[in-house]
Amino acid sequence: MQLIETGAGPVRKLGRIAAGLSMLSANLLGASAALAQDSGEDEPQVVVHDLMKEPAPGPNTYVYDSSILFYKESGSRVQAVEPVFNVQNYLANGSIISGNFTFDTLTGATPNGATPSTSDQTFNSIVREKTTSTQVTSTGASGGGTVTTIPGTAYAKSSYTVPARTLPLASFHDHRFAGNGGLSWLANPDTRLNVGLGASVERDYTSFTANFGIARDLNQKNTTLSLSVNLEEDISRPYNGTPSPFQELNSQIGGGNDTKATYGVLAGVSQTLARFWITQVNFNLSGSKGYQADPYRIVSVVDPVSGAPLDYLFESRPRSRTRESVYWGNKLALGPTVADVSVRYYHDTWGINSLTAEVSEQIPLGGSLYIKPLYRYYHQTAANFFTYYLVNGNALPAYASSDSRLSRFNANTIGGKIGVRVFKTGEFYVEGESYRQTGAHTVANAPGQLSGLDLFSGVHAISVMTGLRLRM
Amino acid sequence: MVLTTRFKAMGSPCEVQVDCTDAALAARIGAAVEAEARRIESKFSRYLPESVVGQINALAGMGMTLDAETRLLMDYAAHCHAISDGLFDITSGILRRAWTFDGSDRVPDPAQVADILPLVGWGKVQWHDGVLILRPGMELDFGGIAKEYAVDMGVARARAETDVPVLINFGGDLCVTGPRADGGRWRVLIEAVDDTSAAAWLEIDGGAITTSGDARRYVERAGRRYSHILDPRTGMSIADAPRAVTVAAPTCVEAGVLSTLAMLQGPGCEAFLEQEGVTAWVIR
Amino acid sequence: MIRKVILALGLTLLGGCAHVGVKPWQRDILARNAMALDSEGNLSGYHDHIYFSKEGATGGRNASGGGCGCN
Repeated sequence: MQLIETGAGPVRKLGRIAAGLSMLSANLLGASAALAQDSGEDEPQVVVHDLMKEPAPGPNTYVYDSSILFYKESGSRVQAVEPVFNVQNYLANGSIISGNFTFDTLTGATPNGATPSTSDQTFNSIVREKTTSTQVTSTGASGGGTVTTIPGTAYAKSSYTVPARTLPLASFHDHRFAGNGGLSWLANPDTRLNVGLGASVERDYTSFTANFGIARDLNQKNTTLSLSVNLEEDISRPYNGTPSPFQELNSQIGGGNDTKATYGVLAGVSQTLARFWITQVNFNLSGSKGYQADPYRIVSVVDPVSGAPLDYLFESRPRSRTRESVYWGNKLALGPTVADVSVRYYHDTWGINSLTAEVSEQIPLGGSLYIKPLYRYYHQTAANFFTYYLVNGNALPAYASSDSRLSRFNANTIGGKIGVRVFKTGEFYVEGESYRQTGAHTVANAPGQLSGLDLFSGVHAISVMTGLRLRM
Repeated sequence: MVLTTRFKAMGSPCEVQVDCTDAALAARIGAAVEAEARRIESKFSRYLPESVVGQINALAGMGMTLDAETRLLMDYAAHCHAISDGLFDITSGILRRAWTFDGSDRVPDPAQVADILPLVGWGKVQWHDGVLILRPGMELDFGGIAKEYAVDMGVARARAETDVPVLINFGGDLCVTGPRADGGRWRVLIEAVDDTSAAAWLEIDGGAITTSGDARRYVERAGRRYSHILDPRTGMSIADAPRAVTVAAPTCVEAGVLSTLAMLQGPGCEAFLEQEGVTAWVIR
Repeated sequence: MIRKVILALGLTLLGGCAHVGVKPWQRDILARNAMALDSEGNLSGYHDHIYFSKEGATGGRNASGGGCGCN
């Protein structure tokens, strides 16, 4: 055995490593001693972050969410099937790359805007012949319509008849493909930036969106301030061209495509109020300029005495709209359950004021299953140019639309979700809900026959959504 | 007069020597140090599934936040990794699966080591803002820190109780609170490292001493002796390392890391210790 | 008006922010997936789309809602 003593000189001149270790060790033991003094907090030793939540996903983790929506309105109105695929890639440096793909198929019928009548109503219009094949399915008859070519022209006459005392509907069929991608990254440990681009394409409508956002954590990540800017450019390409405001239905449309530009800003604060409570307040302002009417929607012109339809005009809406909303959301852990409570107040320059309140509660049943009942209340006032009909002989207003989305109504959503943990890190979920709009069915002082007809065109819809979310 | 409390913790014989004649005081100090040792063992032993380290290893792949004391030790380990250019690494423990050090000539198949290496390396661990994420399959091992930390914390406990000189020795990792009551040095027996060598006495009047190396745990092949200390960067044993290195330093945690790093230098052990100005004894 | 209300509310909240909140190790409950403000994944997109196509109001929770000819 050989015992060699090193570095035992009278003066210890430490090297880089030894000197560093000396400092680190002193810091460690000093801090530990301070902790032992300050043992008031009973701090849990290991707290697991739940899966699939940032920042918990590990380095280079993918989260996939694949789902499908089945949506059906009663009264043979709209039916939709909408598969969505979403992927997020969490990188080790904190960046998140995301992509989202949606494919919609819509079929059925939607109100054409005319009032019902005590007699059958026939809707004659002039359509572009080159689009006839799609035209028949897009705004064709409810219960059978005809399309007759006009010889020597590129146009055809379209005609369909709606029975008496029935809300006039026009059938349609459409597909939509939408995709968007986003990138979010940490500018520094407390500041996250994100950019996103998206596009949505239908046969008669294309939309491009871009957004840029910044979120900053303060106060030990208990407060997050965020600001995002959203830009949207929409191109409307109606099958028969864009009608002029109040153009007669049975006339040749001269207008081509039209566009709309939207600029929005959203400023938000989220704040952890307690161990069991996180709250969020957002203010959202957006302005749209351009074509905002529905190019297929008409308004009935009725006789001031009998109330019978005399003519049908395409609707007219302002080309500018500014929307403001304030949203307050909360997540509250109540024992093992988590409640989500939110309210929103909304106002726009078209005169719509709206209040939305939503509450849901996630209730675990055992370790891998939960249920989540939900309820949503929605109320809106009518846009100031909303009307069910125009009265013949009165001066035309600047704007008029009979779109039920611009009317005064309430809506109630009742639903529930079931989630099951699968494959250790995944979740399978099913949600079903009923959405019902209610409102006034008659108008005071309606002329003649209209006082006895149901003018309300709100919907009742059932939807079922199911999907699988996996993290790997 | 030295009154000694003995117990077994962290897989080692432990003793607390108190230089006084007050048996009650010695027992109280012994009990306080033992309680601290057991607290640290139950918190940082990788063998206990309910310990912090056991939980961390069981939760590899998931994100977790850790308590303040564990965060301090994690930061300490992270800094030691950085300062040693990756030689000190608390993720290297799972390399034991490939190596068996029983004095035989069983060197693992390089492919076996290569299979484990993707799970070794502090650089693969995410440790930011108090949030830890291990890659699935990775394991942390505080074996190179926890016992030494327990000795230092035991010293702090003893100092809080009394001014009487105390020596704490957990399996050869030891620390004294200061000189003996008569002003003299404590004499410490460093155990014989194998059957052929004699035990050695060291004298100490302050600070800590730790020993790395175990003459019974090695692999010998083709005339070269492979130490049970493994290089976390290659997964391979350090050839031509000393049989044991004993290091003196002000604290036990510091001495422990230095003696481990010295072993990892292999043939360069003595040069490393000289360069770092560390008081040490090398047995070859 | 709404802008003034939110400004006042925002300032009030911010003023209180520095004093409320939790320590990093008290995030156990907040770390639950259900406590995330955006825990609904694809479902929130479906809800936005349905409500956007049937109602006059939009936005608030997030700035989405546009992007189709359904409104």
